[in-house]
Amino acid sequence: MTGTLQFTGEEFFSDSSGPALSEESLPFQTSIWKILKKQVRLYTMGESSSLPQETVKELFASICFLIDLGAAPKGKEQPLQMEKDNAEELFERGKKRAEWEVLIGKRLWKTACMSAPKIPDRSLFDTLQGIGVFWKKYDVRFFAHQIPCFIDYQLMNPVSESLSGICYLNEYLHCLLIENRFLLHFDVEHMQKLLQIIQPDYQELLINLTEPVMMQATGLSLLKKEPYGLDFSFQDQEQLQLYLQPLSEKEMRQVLSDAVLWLCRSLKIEGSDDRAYFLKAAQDAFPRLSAACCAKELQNLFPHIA
Amino acid sequence: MKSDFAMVPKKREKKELLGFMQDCNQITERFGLSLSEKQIQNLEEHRIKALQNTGRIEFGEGILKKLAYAFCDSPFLFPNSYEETLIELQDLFYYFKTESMEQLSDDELIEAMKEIYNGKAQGSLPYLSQTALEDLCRDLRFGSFDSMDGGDHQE
Repeated sequence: MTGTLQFTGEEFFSDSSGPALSEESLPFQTSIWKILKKQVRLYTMGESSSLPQETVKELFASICFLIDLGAAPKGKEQPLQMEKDNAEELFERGKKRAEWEVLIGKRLWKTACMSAPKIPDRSLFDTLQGIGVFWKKYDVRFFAHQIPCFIDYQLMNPVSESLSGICYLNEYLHCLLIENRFLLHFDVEHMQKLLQIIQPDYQELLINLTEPVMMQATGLSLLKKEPYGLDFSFQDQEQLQLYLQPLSEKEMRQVLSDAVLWLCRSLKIEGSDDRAYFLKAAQDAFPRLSAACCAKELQNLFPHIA
Repeated sequence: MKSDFAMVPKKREKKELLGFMQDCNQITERFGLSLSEKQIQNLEEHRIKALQNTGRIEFGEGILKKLAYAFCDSPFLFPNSYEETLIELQDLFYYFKTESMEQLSDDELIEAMKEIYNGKAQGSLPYLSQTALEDLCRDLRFGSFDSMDGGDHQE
């Protein structure tokens, strides 16, 4: 729910109901107003009757986030029925849900730390360490929509910006685990060699570790070769060039998707989320593949690492 | 999910404030101080402006009642300037509430204002605002605040 709380100007203090207020939603909005008042009282511990606008806006955003979570606990888009739903009930349900999500998140984080690739990468290390701080700073009661930690490590597929608070973090960790599980199939030495060729300074940069590995493995899958070695010989590069060159965009996208599915099968990746994740990443990589193929520079995308 | 809506405080709250201040009059009348309905409305309008100017939002009954209770026994408050003084005190309250970076509760700030107003300031609002409270808030911001005597601690 994206609430527009009119704080400034005459609107906040005026008696007239604004155009956004409809008869049906009035009881719902009155309930939200009551929740906000209660939250302000709890936040100030009854010691202050007023608060800066910025703080109230944050408290309000948190209420909206929790109501959203209460209305659609599984994160599914679901229209909020203001005339039927009880805001206070949704808010309480959302709070419980957020607390539950925190427990899930902690488990995901521990698994992500344990399954992280044994490749020195500053941004991944800092991000996993930073998420440890999240659990101490995250405030379900007042600022549930905030993400009180730095997330530097870039995922292959970015998490939707529409998510916030613990929902964003859990989705991020879920995707990170998909990537970690994928990387566990490959030898660390081979991955380091590949990354070294693609970006010699990769350890200090904000780059994703999975994407080059996945591309290399997908390239090998296009030639129906086993992907574990992550090495593209010069013959492989030429063979791939000959295979891709005559294909139209639609055909190339299709072979790319087929190669990803073939790769998933050979690595025994069976989760539908995992497969969808890699398919999306492969489709996002299509413009680069197409450009490299047109320029006959496939060695830049699929380097020889031995 | 997007459900945009605006929330506007209810007229009821304005009426409540009128009731609160009328109750307040019963106490302050003992000190020869009272507010007419028109004056209460004027104070309410100034409250809204003060909140807007300081970027604050107020919930509940507001601060006017507390200010009136705290200052009604001041020897420097006179019936003919009661309304103007309350307006000024209300403006100062919201301004210094923000300046103190929320480190003072309402009661603490009112207590400090009252002590300075009745003490060092001798009923001078310019002294209260431009000297004593400024010092108090500066000390709070820089962490050297250790008493609530409104600047006397520096001496």
